[in-house]
Amino acid sequence: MSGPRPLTAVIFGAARHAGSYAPILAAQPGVTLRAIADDPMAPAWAQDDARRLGERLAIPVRNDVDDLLADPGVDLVVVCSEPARHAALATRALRVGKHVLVDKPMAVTLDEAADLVATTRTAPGRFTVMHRLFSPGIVRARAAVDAGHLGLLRAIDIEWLASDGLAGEAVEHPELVADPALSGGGELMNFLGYPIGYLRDLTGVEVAEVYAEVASLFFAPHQRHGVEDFGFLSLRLEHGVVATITVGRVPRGPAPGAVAATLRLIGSHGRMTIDESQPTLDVWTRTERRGSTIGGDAGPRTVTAAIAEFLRDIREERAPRVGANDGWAIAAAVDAAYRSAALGQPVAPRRA
Amino acid sequence: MTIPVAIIGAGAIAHEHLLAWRAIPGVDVRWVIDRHPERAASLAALAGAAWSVDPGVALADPAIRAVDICTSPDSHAALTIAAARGGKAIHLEKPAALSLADLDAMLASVRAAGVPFMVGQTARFQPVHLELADAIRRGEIGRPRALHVTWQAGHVWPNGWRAWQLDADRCGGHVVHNGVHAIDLAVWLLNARPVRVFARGFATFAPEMPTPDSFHLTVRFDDGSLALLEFAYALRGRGDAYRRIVAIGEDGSLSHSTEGEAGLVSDAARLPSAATAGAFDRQLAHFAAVVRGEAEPIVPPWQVRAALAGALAARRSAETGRAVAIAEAEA
Repeated sequence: MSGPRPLTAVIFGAARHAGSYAPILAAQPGVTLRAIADDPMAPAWAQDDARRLGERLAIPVRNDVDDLLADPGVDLVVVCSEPARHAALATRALRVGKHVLVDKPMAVTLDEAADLVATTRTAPGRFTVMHRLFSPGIVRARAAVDAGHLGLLRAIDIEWLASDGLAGEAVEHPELVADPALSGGGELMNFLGYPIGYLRDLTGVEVAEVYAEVASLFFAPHQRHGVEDFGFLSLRLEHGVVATITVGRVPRGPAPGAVAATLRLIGSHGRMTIDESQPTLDVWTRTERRGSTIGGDAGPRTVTAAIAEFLRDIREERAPRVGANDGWAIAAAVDAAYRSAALGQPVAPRRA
Repeated sequence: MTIPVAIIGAGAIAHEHLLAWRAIPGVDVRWVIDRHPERAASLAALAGAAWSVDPGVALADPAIRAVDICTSPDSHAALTIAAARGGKAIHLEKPAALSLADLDAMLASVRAAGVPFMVGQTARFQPVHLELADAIRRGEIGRPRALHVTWQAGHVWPNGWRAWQLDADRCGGHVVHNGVHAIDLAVWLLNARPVRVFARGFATFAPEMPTPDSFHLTVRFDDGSLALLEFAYALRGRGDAYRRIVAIGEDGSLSHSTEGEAGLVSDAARLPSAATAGAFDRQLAHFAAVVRGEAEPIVPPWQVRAALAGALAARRSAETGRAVAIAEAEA
């Protein structure tokens, strides 16, 4: 009996989401997770993180990225370094013919993003950047749009807020999201790609103008490094579609889980609201009320689906749901948000 | 002590106000004024009051203690100044004025006359906002730093293309006359002054309508806090309504949405949300207490000015496509 085509994967860098992606990857049929690896030149803390993660998950840890890149037995590279090295590691892996899944953000500058996109044009491997388009609420909304139930979308309001998590629950070192040398920016760099991805997926049109009002309102590491932890954005898309995005890290977002993500869609023929934490099954005891999202938390579900679907893309030679051009458009919108915040005026995203 | 009241303007809002006035003990609506005699007579009949087309008649009536100005915004300045000179307590519909120069003249005449004055910022009197403000004051979320307000409705203004709400010369345009509701709410809850506004309007149903039926605006405040205020008259069903508010503080968040509220489902009618219903009753009862000297107005002059400055800047932003500093709007 033949199962899915075997694929051998390695994870480059052990920052942030490596801890959650690795077990998902290892659990996929036909996938061997051979190693967690980093450059010998990677900072000591990164090597330490990799060693700890490897021990926890019983996966070999190596510091010979080049050897693994040269190994024809390695099919897939998952890049989970600190964001400032994402693009460079992804580009190296693509150039030697590997399939690449890079954690978000794909790149922290548009120059790097351009190099990466150019590389994908000639590289034989499949490429994707982590996204949340398989979140069940987004899938439902997209189906409603595709069925014509909403008519033409006219206005979209997305609120995407992470609750704290800086004491190790979600972020093992605050610098990974707050020190531009590692993170490339603040929480817009970290998170804004998700709601921009929602906008592009639901509307099918590109962002034409971004105005960003950002601030460092809540967290000392962000204030110390002079980066934003929060922002409100006003966007104009093609065809006069308008949108707002509320994004950032806050002490406690208005939802039970780690991420409070809600959308409000107004179309010419209908409207829709999406709350990624709903629907819930509520438990009422004598002393407390708690609830769980029916079907499970949206976060792990969308990440698991994104990984599983990318493996199918590789095996079936399909175009990934989020490819290099999508990655560019998202990076360009994030870049526009930063330029707008610095200028205090709306700006247009740069075109590829 | 009875408060004899004159209502000036007999449009849709005046009708709502009359219903609220009639429920307040000790208030006696004695005059209804409107430039359209049939409208004035019709509302006056409902009130059991006299009517006129001339506001001067009511302002010259020594028995009248308070006026409720419900006319279109372009007439607010002249009527407010005349009422102050006549020694009347003034309840004024929003937006208070169409320019800061007008507002400053109005505030100066009110101050000089020493009469009670309050702008009817109705959203403050909606139960959800009163309780949200209380929760902030109790310190439930620490210092509030960001506010996201979404108001959506399937609403059209009365009188079709004749609606004054479509005429920016008469009302400042939608971004001013309804934007000031949400900006005032943010000024009140964050207790801060806007310093920069960006506004984006869009017309949903009639692409060439002279003012956008919908808009959103970002506001940066002088203490660094931020607001995103969204206002859409873009829902397809007349009477459809959706509301949501999230306040984010240094120790937590407050949130409310009408989605959680079970409501009437009927083709014939909609019921207002219990989270927002009854605001005019509370607003005018509060004003009556102000007139009697039992309360200070919940809407102080500095907040009236801050909200109007924000709304005028928002209009300029929507028209130019640029973010507007309040200092520019002052100029």
